[in-house]
Amino acid sequence: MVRWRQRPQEVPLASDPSSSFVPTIIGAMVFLSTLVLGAALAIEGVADGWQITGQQYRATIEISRKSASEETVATSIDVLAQLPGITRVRVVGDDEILATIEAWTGGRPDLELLPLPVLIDVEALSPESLRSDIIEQILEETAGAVTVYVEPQWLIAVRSTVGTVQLVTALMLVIIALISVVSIVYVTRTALSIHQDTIETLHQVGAQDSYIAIQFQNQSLFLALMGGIPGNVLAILIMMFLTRELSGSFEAPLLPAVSLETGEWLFLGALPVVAAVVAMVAARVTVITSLGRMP
Amino acid sequence: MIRFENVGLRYGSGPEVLHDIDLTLESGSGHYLVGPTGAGKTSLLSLLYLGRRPTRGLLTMFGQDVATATRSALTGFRRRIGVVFQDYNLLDHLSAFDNVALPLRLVGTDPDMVRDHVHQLLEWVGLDTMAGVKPPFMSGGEKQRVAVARAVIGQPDVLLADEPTGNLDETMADRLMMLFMELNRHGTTLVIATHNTRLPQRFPHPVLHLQEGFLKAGRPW
Ligand SMILES: Nc1ncnc2c1ncn2[C@@H]1O[C@H](COP(=O)(O)OP(=O)(O)OP(=O)(O)O)[C@@H](O)[C@H]1O
Ligand SMILES: [Mg+2]
Repeated sequence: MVRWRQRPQEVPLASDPSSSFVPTIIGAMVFLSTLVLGAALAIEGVADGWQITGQQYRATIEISRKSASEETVATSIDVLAQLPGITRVRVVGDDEILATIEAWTGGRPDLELLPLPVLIDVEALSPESLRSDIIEQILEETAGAVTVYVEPQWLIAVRSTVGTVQLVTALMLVIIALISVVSIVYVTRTALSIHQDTIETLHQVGAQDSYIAIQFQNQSLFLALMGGIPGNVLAILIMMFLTRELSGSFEAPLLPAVSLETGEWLFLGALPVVAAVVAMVAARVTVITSLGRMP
Repeated sequence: MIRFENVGLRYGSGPEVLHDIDLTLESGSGHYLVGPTGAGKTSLLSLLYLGRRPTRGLLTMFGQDVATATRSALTGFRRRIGVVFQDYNLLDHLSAFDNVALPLRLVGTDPDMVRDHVHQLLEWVGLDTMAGVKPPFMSGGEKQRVAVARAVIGQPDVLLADEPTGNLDETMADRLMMLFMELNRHGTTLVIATHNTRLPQRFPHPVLHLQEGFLKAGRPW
């Protein structure tokens, strides 16, 4: 067993049965949470690629350059903003449009040859606020003929699925965290009763509760890392394999790749540390509250 | 000064084992605590070392009612109390050295100083060659001496010894008693529970006589 310091452990926790139980349970929990969180991030990444995240529903209104004087655009925006349920109205800048086209064509198009329409983005909290027939009718007066592109029905379905995935992920993570905390509390309570005589003696010779708690929390931190790191590494390897497989099979243009960003990988890699800190705090709180009830 | 006023003690819901204890121990005093087995000597000491609180009455130590003292105050008091337990209460997984060093380490004493002090004491109790040995591999008398060394190393204000010479021959018993007397001369309040009638004769101090949980006047012998 690894020694933390030169000094001996006054409470001999290293030989407890928990020294194999905690790494196993925390290892499994970190493994699961890495996979769950990794999957959720990947799904969100795909959804981001389709621009379907968030709670907003969107429509894009296209006004032809010819009929769109600055004044017309400004009045149209005012009118749209006053419609019920609309949360945001903005003109899509030319740069933004050009960048999008550039991604398609691979080069910057000549603005002379390609007269861009004016695009207005509208966001609303519910799809009912974005009925294309109504919007077209209203804008008829100010801007003449316009075309309204509303999000297709399937995209709305995907959006609500993504929302559900996030919810389920959060729920699973909460359950995993609860199982971990309950296990640590249980293990710590067991250790407290195994070592009750030692603890009483330590108290008698002048040890503070916090001094005793440090021994338990260090052990808990150490054991959680012992299990958490391998569990995490294994899950990340699986994630790497899967993302590579999946992005290979969806090799179609315009479809976002199933992948994680560097920051997201790092985030996943930090999970064992998070688990270890949780285990440490759980052990400490358990010891302090239990000792507080002793004479 | 330690003061018992009408103190009673019971274990859990069992019968009362100490009754109506009225007692004042002046600072720097020395007493023997005697009485037949089961009379309540260890129980009385457990109140003194703050292992238990009285179930009734008032116990004042270090100028404070122990019933109302906070946990951290109690820890502070315990650091000023050295205890030789009847069954030693050594930590089996620690060497003799580490057991004796414990009280000093807990208050953050400099490691070099800890080492010197511990070796010095182990030498005095005749265990300098056993510093690295753990209690399960020691005889009763050896453990008893480790327990004594641990109790005195912090130069406590109060020293409580429960049958500290029970497993020792006369020579070694006298040696330890001299250590206690030395501390007592330097101001440590001393209470020694013992069945050994020889000790009060050889190292005279007033005797507290417990019988069936009551403090009696006079000596039993
Ligand atoms: N932990 C305990 N739980 C319940 N009863 C106890 C406990 N410890 C002691 N007693 C009871 O308290 C009474 C006094 O015991 P105590 O140990 O104080 O006696 P003692 O004078 O130290 O005896 P000895 O000389 O044998 O050491 C006894 O009747 C004993 O049975
Ligand atoms: Mg006893």
